[in-house]
Amino acid sequence: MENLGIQPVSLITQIINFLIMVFVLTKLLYKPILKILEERKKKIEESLELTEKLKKDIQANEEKKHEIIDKAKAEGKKIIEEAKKSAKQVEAELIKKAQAEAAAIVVKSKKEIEIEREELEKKLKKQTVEIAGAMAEKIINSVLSEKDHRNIIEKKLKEIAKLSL
Amino acid sequence: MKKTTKKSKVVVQGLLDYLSETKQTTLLPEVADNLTRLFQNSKTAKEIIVTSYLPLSSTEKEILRKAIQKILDVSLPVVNKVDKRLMGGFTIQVGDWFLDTTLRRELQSLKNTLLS
Repeated sequence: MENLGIQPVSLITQIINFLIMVFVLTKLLYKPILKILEERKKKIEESLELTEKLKKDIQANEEKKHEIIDKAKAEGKKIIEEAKKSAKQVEAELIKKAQAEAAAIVVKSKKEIEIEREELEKKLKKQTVEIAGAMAEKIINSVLSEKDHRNIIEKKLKEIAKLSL
Repeated sequence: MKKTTKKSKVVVQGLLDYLSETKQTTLLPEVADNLTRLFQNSKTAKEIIVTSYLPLSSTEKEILRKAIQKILDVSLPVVNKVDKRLMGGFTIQVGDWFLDTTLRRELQSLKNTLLS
């Protein structure tokens, strides 16, 4: 070995130094780095898991959202249909009510017209009778002579005389 | 009391029928009282007031006096008043008892009939 230029002591020393270096590096550098890498890997895996979970959650939420929207649409449609139905019913009731009111107004109007007509007829009849009475009075006063009046008195006297029999 | 004649019975029956038909039979005592009062008042009257369209002759007055004497059983003098508004005929008043035979009443009666 000495012929090769290698000093055994130096070699041993270097081997020891190398081993010490390996030991020190292993203890102080390699293990912490491995640990950090391991932790980093774990974090990445966790992040990936979380991402996957979030993706699933988002998909589930999306499905749920669609489901809610569909349900809301269906309910909205149902409400609109019911509202239309209810509106038609209300419309029919209003038309029926309006028709009944119109019929009542017509009946009332006819009755009022009839009453008014009767009152007018009565008034006209009264006026006619009054005019006829006034005319008859004038005719009686102008047509009947004294002799006629005397005859009337005698006729009435006879009637009274008959009453006393 | 004077004897009840057939004619008066008919009048009384007519009155009763009228009250019965018009459902006013409860008025009968009041009507009887009024008739009695009218008759009694005619007894206390001092004269027969005859209002006529033309003045009555003494013969006509005498006929009336006798007729009233028989109807109301009273003997009273006749007082004649003339009123041209009667249009014809005459009215007789003895106390509250009153008889209207005028053309004015007949015309009014005709008007009432036409209006009823």
